[in-house]
Amino acid sequence: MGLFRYTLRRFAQLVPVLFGIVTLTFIMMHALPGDPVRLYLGTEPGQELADDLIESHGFDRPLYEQYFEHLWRLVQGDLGQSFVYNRPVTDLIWERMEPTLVVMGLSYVVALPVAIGLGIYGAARHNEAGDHVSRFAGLAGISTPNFWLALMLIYVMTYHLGLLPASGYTSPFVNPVESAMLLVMPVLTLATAQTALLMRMTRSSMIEELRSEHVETARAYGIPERKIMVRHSFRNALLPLITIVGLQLSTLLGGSVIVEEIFAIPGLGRLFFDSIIDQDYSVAVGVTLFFSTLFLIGVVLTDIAYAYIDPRIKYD
Amino acid sequence: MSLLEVEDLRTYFFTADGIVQAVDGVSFEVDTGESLGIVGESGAGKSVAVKSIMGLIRDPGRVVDGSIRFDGRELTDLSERELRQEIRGNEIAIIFQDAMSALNPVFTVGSQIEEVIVENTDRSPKEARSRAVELLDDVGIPDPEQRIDEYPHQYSGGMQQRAMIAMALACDPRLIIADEPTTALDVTIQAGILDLFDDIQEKYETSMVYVTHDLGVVREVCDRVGVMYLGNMVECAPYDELYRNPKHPYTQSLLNSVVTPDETLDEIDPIGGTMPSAVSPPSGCRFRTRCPAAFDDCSKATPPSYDVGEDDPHEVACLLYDETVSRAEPALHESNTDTDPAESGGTADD
Repeated sequence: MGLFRYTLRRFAQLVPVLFGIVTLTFIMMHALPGDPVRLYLGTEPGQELADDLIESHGFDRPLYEQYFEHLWRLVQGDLGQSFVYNRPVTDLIWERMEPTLVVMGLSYVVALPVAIGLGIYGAARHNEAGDHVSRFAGLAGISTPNFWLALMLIYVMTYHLGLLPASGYTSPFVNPVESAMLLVMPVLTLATAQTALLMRMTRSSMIEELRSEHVETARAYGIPERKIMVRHSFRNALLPLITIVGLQLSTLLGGSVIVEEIFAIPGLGRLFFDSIIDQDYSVAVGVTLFFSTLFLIGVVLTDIAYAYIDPRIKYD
Repeated sequence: MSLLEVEDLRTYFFTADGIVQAVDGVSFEVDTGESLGIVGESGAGKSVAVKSIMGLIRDPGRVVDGSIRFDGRELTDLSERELRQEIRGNEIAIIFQDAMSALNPVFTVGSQIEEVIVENTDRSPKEARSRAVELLDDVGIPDPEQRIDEYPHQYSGGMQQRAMIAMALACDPRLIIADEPTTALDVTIQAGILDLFDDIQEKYETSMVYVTHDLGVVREVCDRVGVMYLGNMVECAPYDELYRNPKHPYTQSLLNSVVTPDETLDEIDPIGGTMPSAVSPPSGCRFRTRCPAAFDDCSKATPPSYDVGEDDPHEVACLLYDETVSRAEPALHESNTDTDPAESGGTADD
């Protein structure tokens, strides 16, 4: 009962946050220097053509009118029209969503088990050789910028070894083998920093738990060490971990822009990047909104998982 | 034969700052059904001593010497696995000071007690549950059928400690170690818990080692009392005997530092100075730097235990009770030069 109402309430709280995001992106896009119409039409547009475009997109009307119209359309689920692609923004997002979600999802799938496994291993072997090695690897992973890692991967895997194709995207639902070949490097790029950070988090919170008094109690009452690791420490150590996993979503979304650009993946990150270069207002605002919504849902899910795992959190 | 015999126990911690001699040559015994109190200031090594019994000392600490015999069995020879399967929880159970932290916050009280039962006995999970309800009832938790499924944070401080006691009783241990179990509680709650300990001892006939810094608490629950100072057991005697006739200068000062209702603060006599570090304790008797009765020989060797009791054994580790040692001053009631309060040794034993 409590959990359900808690979930509803947390989602309801998202509405004002989203409203703020819409407003901010709208202001920021219009504050950008440059003229999208000129950019779109090239160096010598006919004045009529330009006027036409300006009028059809409502650029000649006062900003507040544009803002309210923008809001009104959003409420109806209409993200507007891209004037670069001349298509509805929702269609564009829908088309470009798959590659981004596949790359992001896979990088979580790779990062989480590896990070948790190594983190627990490090905590169990605290200050022994294996712990030092995994800690150092973790530090290296966090400190490596993803664009550099991506380029190095291409340099080694494609240029020198010729093992993997450097760019492009094929849906895993269409051609799994080719898709896998193409996905290895982007997923590795995104997952590395992710794994490293989560591993260090797991390790430190496990170490803290293993030193806690309730673990001492478990030991004093003859609970086997394996059970102490899995049952008495990990569940408690999960709490800080879940928070990070949720917050990491934003890093992943940011990372997807870079990764998709480097590996030429036609996903949302790339759409977003191009829309800013082209000053394609509706697309930029639409993708921002989509990313923020995704992130906020991640945060809410985190809170719910938190409340589910930790009985001390009150739902109401 | 005693149920528990600890002899010359030494537990050291090998830290970067040096070797902390937390427990250095402690001996005591606990008979079946008996309850022994261990008192001393913070840092005296009480907790370390009792945790050593169960092999709960973690790195960088280690039991370096001594013997711990439980029912004739040498515990220091047992492997971690044997300790876990045969001793911890089922033969010896421990109750910690802060029940709130000692219980896992993310599991229900019941599931934690049940786990201990299932792990240490042949009982099925279902039997464990009904046993857990019984135990919670025994320790005075109201509505145990409902409250068994609550989480520790839903219990009050006193109830958490009661749940902890239920866990200790879960597998009918022969010895319960209580490590400052009421220190974190209000006085009124504390009284309830102490009564509970009395009831339990009667009902379950367990032996008990009760660690505390509170002499008043000791009176409630203990038959015999051992006094620890800086890793040594300085005196051990039946409670009444120790209270009426303290022999060791430290015990005398300790009793003298307790404020009773008919005394004013001016009348009490705190012990001068602070406890030295256990990394580099004083040579010989460790109390000599604060002892009003110290003399030359005190620095030469750790004083052995002398039995000064008339009927029951009354052990005191102090050279004042060695007839063969000649000393410059007749001491006991006179003050030494370097410590302040003039009569800190004497007033308690009249």
